[in-house]
Amino acid sequence: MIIVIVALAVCLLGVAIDLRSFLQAWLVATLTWGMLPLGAVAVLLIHGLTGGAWGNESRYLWQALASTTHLFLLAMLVPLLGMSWLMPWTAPVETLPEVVRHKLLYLNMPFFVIRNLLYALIWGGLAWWLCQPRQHRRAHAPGAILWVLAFTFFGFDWFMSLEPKFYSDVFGLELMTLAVSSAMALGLLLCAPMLRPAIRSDIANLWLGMLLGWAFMAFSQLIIIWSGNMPHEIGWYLQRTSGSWRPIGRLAFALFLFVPFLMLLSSSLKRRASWLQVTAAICLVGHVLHMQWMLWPAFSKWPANQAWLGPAALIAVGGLGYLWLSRALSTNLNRNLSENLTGRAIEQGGRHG
Amino acid sequence: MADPRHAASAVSLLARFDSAEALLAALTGLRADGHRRLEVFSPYPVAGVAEKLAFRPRWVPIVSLALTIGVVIAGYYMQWYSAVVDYPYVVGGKPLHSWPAFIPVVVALGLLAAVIGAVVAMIAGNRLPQPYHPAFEAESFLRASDDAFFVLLSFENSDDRQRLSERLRELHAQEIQEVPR
Repeated sequence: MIIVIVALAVCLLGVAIDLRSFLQAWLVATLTWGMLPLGAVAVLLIHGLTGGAWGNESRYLWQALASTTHLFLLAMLVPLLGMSWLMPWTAPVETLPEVVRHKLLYLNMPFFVIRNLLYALIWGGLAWWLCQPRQHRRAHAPGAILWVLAFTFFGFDWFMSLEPKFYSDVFGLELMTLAVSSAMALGLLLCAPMLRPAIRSDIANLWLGMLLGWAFMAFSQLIIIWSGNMPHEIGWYLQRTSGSWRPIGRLAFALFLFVPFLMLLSSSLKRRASWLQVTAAICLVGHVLHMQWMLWPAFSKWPANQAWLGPAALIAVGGLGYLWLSRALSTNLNRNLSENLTGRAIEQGGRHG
Repeated sequence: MADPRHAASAVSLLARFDSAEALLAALTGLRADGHRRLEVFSPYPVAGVAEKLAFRPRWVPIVSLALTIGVVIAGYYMQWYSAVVDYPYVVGGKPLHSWPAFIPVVVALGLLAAVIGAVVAMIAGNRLPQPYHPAFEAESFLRASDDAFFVLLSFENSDDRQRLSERLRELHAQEIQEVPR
């Protein structure tokens, strides 16, 4: 609690010193942590479509995570208000390169704001609806489609348009698999000991599948851009393999995918809660590093105060999210427990009767 | 001339049970008695039998993993050798050893190797193909694919036969037959 307040105070100091650096730091932090609730929304949607014991018994967990979507949407208001400091395409048209000028039909402020309101409506609505005790089954499929569409355009708007010359089709899908994998990692980190071993290994298998899905998407993007070697696209990777970003990118890949992949190979270890928690923690560190690697190189200027502002924003947004999440989780846990107890009482009453 | 299969003491007991519950209960009893050489036949997969038999698929993942690693290394080496050593050819100004281009082939071969390794290890572990099995000697064994649950019990000492039959009756076996091993 105190740490969060201190971090928020540091962020306010950042506003006073340099508004642009503060906005950059806040955007990176919000996107880094915002992937987690968005991923949890998808987990709930998938379970709504497929059913299965793994989701019936871990539902409360994903619901608690998904309920923090609203905090993420609130935090996104800050960069939305400050977009003229963040987005290079908001500069006067004459100063923009030609490729970007052709994109201005899409990348302009009014349309950008409308799109963001739509994302907020879709995700906020889905998160609210999925946290209700009962859902109508038929709405999961349209919900999942809307979620995917919103994520694709969200990726275009908040990740790719930071470098408006860059374009990649698969970017949205990569972000989606990233979000779901990280959300599942956080869920396992928080609640692995409370689940039955069979459920735990089911979720771990789904998680491994999702991680491999991310690897597939990320690699498709890399190999297409690397083979084509076109200036606008390869620049995105060149920016991220120069200087200290190169080792950071490698480390993020190792922690996010490679180490968890090896740790999840054994099916008997997947049933052990402590093992899964360690794996999930490693993966989440990788997630945070990977998001920094993906976002920071997009800002061409690198002011010195980012060294303290970036971590402070990460702690502030992450801390707020954690406080929100732990409250939601404890109420959900209590409700889950009492439901189980009443369920059992009814069962026993029926047996006695 | 006597059939060598009917030699003295080389006999197994085949017990028939009526239900999956009776089968599981009998397996628990037999395991508690210390019998380890048990084989089970049922019309459908009965949940819990593998655990009761203390079955562990030890070799399947190891064979699968070993084959995968071998194939991945071989596949990578094949591409590296052909692109760098045997036929060096610059494509698109890229270095001869362009690893991103080698990855898709290696991943596909690795997946194939993992699946083939698992299937081969599974078949070998089940001692298949097996054209003859002692249980085929019993007339009623055909019901194993219909409505009956069988346990095949191998034992070393023929003196035990009487005692074992009694024990199986105790465990609600409906029918007990001796089959040559």
